[in-house]
Amino acid sequence: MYVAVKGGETAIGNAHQLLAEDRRGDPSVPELSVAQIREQLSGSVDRVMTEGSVYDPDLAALALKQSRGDQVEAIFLLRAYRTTLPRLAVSLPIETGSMKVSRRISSCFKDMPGGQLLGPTFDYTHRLIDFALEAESTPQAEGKGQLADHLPQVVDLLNAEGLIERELPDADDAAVGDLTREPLMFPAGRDIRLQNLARADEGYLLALGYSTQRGYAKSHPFVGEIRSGEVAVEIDIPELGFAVDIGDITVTECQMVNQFMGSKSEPPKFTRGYGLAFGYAERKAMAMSLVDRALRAEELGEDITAPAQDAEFVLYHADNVEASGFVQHLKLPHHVDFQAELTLVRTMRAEIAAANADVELAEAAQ
Amino acid sequence: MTIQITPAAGFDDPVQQSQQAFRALLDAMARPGRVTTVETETGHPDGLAPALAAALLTLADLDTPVWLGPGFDTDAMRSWLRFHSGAPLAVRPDQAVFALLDAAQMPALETFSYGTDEAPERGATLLIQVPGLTGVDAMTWKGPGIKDSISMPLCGVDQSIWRQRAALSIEFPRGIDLYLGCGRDLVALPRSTAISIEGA
Amino acid sequence: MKQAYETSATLAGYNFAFLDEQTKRMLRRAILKAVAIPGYQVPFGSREMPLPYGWGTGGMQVTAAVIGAKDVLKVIDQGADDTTNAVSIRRFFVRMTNVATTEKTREATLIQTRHRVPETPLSEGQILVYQVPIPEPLRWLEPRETETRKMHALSEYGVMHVKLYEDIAQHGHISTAYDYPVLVNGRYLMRCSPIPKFDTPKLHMNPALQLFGAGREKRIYAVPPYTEVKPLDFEDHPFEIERWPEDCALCGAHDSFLDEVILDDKGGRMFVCSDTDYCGERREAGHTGRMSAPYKAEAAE
Repeated sequence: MYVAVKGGETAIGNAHQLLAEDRRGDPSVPELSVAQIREQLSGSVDRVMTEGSVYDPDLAALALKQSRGDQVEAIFLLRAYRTTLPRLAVSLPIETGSMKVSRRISSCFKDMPGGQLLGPTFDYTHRLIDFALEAESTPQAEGKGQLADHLPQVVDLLNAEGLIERELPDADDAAVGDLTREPLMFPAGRDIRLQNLARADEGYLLALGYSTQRGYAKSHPFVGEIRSGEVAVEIDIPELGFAVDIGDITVTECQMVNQFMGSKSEPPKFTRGYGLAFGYAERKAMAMSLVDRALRAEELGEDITAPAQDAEFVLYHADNVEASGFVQHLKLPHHVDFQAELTLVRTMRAEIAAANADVELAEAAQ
Repeated sequence: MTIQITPAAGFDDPVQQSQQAFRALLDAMARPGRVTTVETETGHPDGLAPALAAALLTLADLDTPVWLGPGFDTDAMRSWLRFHSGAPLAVRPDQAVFALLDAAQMPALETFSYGTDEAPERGATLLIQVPGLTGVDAMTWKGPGIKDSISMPLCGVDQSIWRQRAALSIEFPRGIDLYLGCGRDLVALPRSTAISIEGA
Repeated sequence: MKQAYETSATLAGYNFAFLDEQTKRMLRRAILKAVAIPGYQVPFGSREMPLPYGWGTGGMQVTAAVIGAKDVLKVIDQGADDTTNAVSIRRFFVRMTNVATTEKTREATLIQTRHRVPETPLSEGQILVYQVPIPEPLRWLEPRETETRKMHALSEYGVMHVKLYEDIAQHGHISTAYDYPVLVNGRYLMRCSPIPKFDTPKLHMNPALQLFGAGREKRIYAVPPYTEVKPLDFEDHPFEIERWPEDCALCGAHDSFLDEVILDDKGGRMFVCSDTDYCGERREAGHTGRMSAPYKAEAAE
C-alpha cells in the first residue's frame, strides 16, 4: 500500500529550525551584533540598502544577519519590509553639489578646483591578503578624512563652455515616475530607467556596463566625476512654507562623460551617463552610469545594436528580487505539468513506433 | 462669512467595510444584470445612494480623478469625497477614472474616456444613480457573466443613452463600464456585455 | 485629508491581509477592469510580498485584495493542499487574516491554486485565484512586451496558429501539454497559467469567477462566470485532453488528473489523483483502487 507524503507544515518548521542553527554557526564562537555588521561590513550594508531601496544601515545590517550574509536574500527582506511602510512625504531632489565630500575624483582633468580627493578607497591597495587582520586587532585610525564642502561638479566646469549637454527638468514638469507604485511600461522615460537601474543587481549592471566597453554599444566613456559623501535630505512642509532638513545620507554619484558626434541640429558635444547609489558603492554607480548612457541610444539617435542599449531587455531583467524568485521557483513542484508532458511524449513515441512497425511489416510482406 | 461644511460620514471600519463593499462590486461586475446588495453600512451625503457612496469610498483615492456630474457637483458632495478619499476632482469628464452621474441628467457617453486598444483599462467607470432597478423589461443583455441572456428594464436611463451604449460594443475592448445604483442595490454593466433594446 | 485608518490588524503591526489599503484599492480597481475585459491583462503596481516572486505573489496579491473575514480559504499547489508551498501560503493568510481554511473544494469560498483546477465542479459564488508565472501567451513567440501588446490590440494571433500548425506538421501533434492557449469570449488570447491541458476545458462556462495574478510580471486578468473559453485547435486536429492507461490506485477514479509516482528503480509505478481532496472524498464514499487500503480518516497534520 502507498501512503502519500503528508506533513508539509512540520517539514517547513523543521527546515526553518535548521536554517536558524546554520545561521548561528558554532555557538562557541561569539555572535555577531547588528552594530558590528553595520560598522565592519559596510560594503555589504551599502549594497543591501541600495538595491533594497531603503536608506537604513541598521535595518540592512539586521537583514544581513538574518540572511547569514546572503546579500540578495537581505535585499529581498528589506524590500518586503519597505512595501509595508507608509509614505509620509516625498523628499526634494538631493543636492549633490552641496555634498560634504569624502572622496572625489575625475579622470578628465589632471587637476581641478577643489582638487582630487582620494578618500577611503580600495584603489591602489595591493590586493594582498592582510594576515594582520586575523589577529582581530584594531588598526590605528588616523581620524576621519576631512570633508570638503561645496566642491564644484566637474561636468559643470564643462558646461561653462557648452561642451556638455545640460540636464534640465522636463519642460512639462511631469511628476517623476515610481516603479514601486506602477508597473514598468514602455517606452520608459529616463526617470523610470534610472530608478530601475538604481535598484538593479550590481553584478548584472557590472556585466552590462562592461559589455559597452567591449564594443557592444558605441561607448567612449570618461569618468567626469565620482564623488562620495554626505548630502542633506529635505522635505517640503507646505504648512511651514519652507523645506526642512530631516537628516544626512551617504551617497556615491558617478557622472560618466561620453562623446557624441552631434546631429544636423546640434554641434558635437559630450553627453552624460548617470549613476547614484547609497553608501560607498562606486562600482555600482559607475556600472549604472555606463548602462544609463547606453540606454539613451534611441533618444540620441544612435543605432541600437547591443544588449545594453535594449531597454526592454535591460530593464525587465535587472531586478534581482524578481530574477532570484523566478529562477528559484523551479524548485517548487512542477509534477503536474511534467506529467502532462510525459503523457504527450509517450503518446508521440508510441505513434512513431507503431508507424515504424507498419513500415517494417509492409517491407517484410514485399 | 464663511460656511464651514462638516462632511458626511464614511466607513467606520474602512478595512473591513471596503472589503465587503468590494466583494459586492466584484460580484456585480462578474454577473452583469444581477441586482447585488451592498450590505455594509456607510455614511453618505444626502441624495447619494449608499451603494454608490460605498463604491466611491472603496475604489476612489489620490490616483483616481472623479468627475461629479450635474446634480452631484455640490459643496457637500465635493467635501465628502475629498475628505474620505482624497480623490482629485476631474475638471473635464474625459479625465475621469470614475464619474458620478444622475440617470436623469446623463451627458453623452462619448464625453468619457474609452481607453485605447493597447490600454483599454483606461476606459472610465460610470456610477449612475437611478430611480429604480426594476420595471418593464425593455432590453436584452448577453455576454460574459450572463448564462444565456437576461432581460432588463431601462432603469430610468433615457433610451438614447442605452442606444449609445449598445453602439459602443463595436469599439471593444475600448469602452466604459457602468454601475447603476439605487439605495443599497446596484447592477453592473461591463463593456463586454452586448445589449439590444426592444423596438430599437 | 483623512488617512485610511487601518483598524483591523491581525498579526501585530500588519494590516488585515498584509497589504495597505491604498494598495488594495489599486488591486481592486485592476481586478474590476480585468473582469470587465475578459482575458485582457491589466497592468498593476505589483508589490514585493514576503514570499519570493515566482512563488505565487500575484495570486497572493489578488487573494489579499479579495479576501474578507467571512471567507473560507483553500490553497492548493499541484492539486494538493499539503504541498509545501500551499501550506506556506495558507499559513500566511491565516496569520494575516485569521480566516477559516478548508481542504474541501465544496466548502471554500476562495481558492488559490497553482497549476491545477480542482476536479470537483465549482459553483456560483466561488472565486478561483490562479498563480501565474508568465501571463503573456505569445511570450515564447515574441519576447518583447511592446510587440505583444500591439498584437493583442489588433487581435493579431496568426503566429500562434502557425506555431501550433508547425507542431502538427513536425510531430503529428500539437506539442503543448500544459499552458494551452485559449481564446476568451472570442477576443483575447489568454494563457491559463500552466495548468495541464486536462484542466483547460474546465475554464469554459464555469459558474465561478476565475482571477489570474502574475506578481513579477505585474498583470491581472480574469474569466468571468459563464464565459466562452476556447482552446485554439484545427478542424482536423481537434483539441484533446490527456488520458492515462490506469485508474487512480487509491480511489479508482478514471476521470481525474493522475500523478505518476515512481515506486522503485525497476520501473514500478502507480498513478494517483493529483487532487487530494477529490481522491479523499471518493475514498470516503467507499471507492477503492488497486493499491488502496480500506479508507480511514487520516490524522490531521
